[in-house]
Amino acid sequence: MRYLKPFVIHRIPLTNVIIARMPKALRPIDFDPVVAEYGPDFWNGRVWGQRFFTFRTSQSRKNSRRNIGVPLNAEFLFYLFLDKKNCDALVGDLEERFHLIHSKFGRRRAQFWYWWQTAISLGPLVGEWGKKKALKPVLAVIGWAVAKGLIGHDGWLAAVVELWKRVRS
Amino acid sequence: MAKGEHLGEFEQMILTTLMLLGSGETAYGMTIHAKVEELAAGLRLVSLGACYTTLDRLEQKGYVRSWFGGATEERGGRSKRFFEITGSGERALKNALSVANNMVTGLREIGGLV
Repeated sequence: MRYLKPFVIHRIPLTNVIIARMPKALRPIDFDPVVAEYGPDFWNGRVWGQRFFTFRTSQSRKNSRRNIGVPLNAEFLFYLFLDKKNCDALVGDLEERFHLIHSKFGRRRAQFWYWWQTAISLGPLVGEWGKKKALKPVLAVIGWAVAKGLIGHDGWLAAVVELWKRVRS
Repeated sequence: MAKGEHLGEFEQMILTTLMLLGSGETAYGMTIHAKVEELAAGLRLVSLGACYTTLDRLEQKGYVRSWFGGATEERGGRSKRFFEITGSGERALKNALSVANNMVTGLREIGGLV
């Protein structure tokens, strides 16, 4: 209903001009002279259905935040070693600071800072991940090997060690 | 103090930071990281990853509690993880700092520290 009126107005020559010159109180509440002239999608870059331009509004800039240059590869590294919630919190913190640095020092320095933080953060994170995830399987394999008698007896491991000693000597 | 309650230097820094930032929704990754960097005064490298792993460890020990907040636009729609020191955390920090204080006092008495 909102856009039907300007459409009708457009089809009747000069009606939009007349309405635009009327006192504001007498105009239809949702009358927009630009919309009446160019159609309901003018602000979306269309004149009566024909696309002519794409506006870069602040909203579209927010939607295309990736254009600012948050390093996706660096971000991805965190997803390898953290669970989703913790990763979101950490990456969100980095991104918050990234935007501060970006606005102050520019894109290159902000990206450098992001990569630097990623590099020094990965050490502790990988260490913790290793303790949680990798240590258990390794201990399980060693335990299995002990139980099977592969370690501590004359099994294949002892033979490999003996071979290594001979090669070295 | 039992052996498991021992706090490392970085853990002490994190707990001190949480006390400085106070309770409520002021202590999250970025503010904690900035404050710890300030406390370290350039004497050690502080990474956000180290802060998070230490905070996780302290939470497992029961010295810290955490919760997730709402998503915000400047963080790309990601939520903040807020932290707060617990009563046992405060006690552990107090014990650790009293030990450090004793050492400083002892050294000052012999003129080791000006």
